[in-house]
Amino acid sequence: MKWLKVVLVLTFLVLMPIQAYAAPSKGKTLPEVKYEPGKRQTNSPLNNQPKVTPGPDIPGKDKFDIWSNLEVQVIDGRTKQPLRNADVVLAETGYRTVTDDRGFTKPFPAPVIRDPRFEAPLGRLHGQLTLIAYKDGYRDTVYFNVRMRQNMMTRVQMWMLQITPEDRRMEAYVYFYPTHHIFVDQLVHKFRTKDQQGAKTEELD
Amino acid sequence: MRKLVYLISALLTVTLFVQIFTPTQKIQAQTAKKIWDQPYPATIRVAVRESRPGGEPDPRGRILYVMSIPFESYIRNVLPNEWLPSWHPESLKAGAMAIKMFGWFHAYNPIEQDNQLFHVDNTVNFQVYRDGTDIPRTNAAFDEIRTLAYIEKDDDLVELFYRAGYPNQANYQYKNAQKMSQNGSHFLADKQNYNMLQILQFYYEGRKLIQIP
Repeated sequence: MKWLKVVLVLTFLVLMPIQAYAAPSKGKTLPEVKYEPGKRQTNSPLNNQPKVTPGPDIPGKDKFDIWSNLEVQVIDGRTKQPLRNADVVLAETGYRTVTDDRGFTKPFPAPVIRDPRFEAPLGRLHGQLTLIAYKDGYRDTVYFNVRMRQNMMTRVQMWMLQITPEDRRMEAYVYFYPTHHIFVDQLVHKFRTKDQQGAKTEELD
Repeated sequence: MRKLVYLISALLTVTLFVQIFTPTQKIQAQTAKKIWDQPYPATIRVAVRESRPGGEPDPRGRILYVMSIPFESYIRNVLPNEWLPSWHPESLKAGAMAIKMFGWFHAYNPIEQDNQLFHVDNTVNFQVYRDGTDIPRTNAAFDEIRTLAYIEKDDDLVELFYRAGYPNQANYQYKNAQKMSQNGSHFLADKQNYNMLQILQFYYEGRKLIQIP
């Protein structure tokens, strides 16, 4: 016990020089990894999906030429919880379906309608559909301008708002699906003349 | 007792010499910016700005509220709003990487505005974020680069900037400005057969691809 203090002091003193090595060594950096795009499975969503042909149960199957799959999820707009047994209707074809326990419908064929007002490639973005959702205790919900994408599955999340005692007029909740800002950018770029006033080139500072 | 004092003095002297002649790291006052000082964020605080009904959120609009959301959920709900989901997979992956590194940087560099503390907002001030807009194709692009990061050669974590650029060209002016062109990334992947790393190297020089530590 008499020597304990001395031993402790000596241990401390001996360890002092070692602290110099405790710091990370200079010049060592994380190794670079080799990137290989790799092969993905044929059913990967990144690959173009096989052509969708509507079955006999799809209304308007002969009315439109291009089809793609659409999946809708319905959630409570306040709690963000999925809503089961909500009726979902695609207004363009009249196709009706219901949501499961996770609030999802089964993927179903929906038309990709090209807007004749826009030429390619701008027109490719426009396959805008109208979705309606119904559920007891909730306000009817209409989503306009739902953008269908060709060769891939489109997924849309619809919000429904529960009816509360404060609600007096039970009118539908409407949402306009936003336009992609790259599309807007391409649209204004296409029609801007060289001497046009406006944003012109971006600042690249 | 005298011997012990001599011994301690000798040891102190030796220690002093060791301290003096052993090379040590130079002490610098600096903010932590290495990737190992800033681990992969779990969440990010997004400020939601007001918009006119039916319109886009206004980049100069009032902040309505700030929400904290999982970082990966943030990336998944930005990618389809910043890159066109129909674009080439390698372009989408380059976009996912840029969005991730931009968000990662800002998750460690918060901003205070109008008495609100946040990392990013939901407009083109930062990256366009819309809740519930992720789709399978862009999610798959993010999944393929989920464990990777693109940083400086000396491991500094920096934000990757990008702008729309002009369609159907590589946008060389963006390469010179060290910013990625979104339209250009699709052009390089689709027309020039560039992969994700080649696109990133084209626009951002002196960086490297690593596994997230």
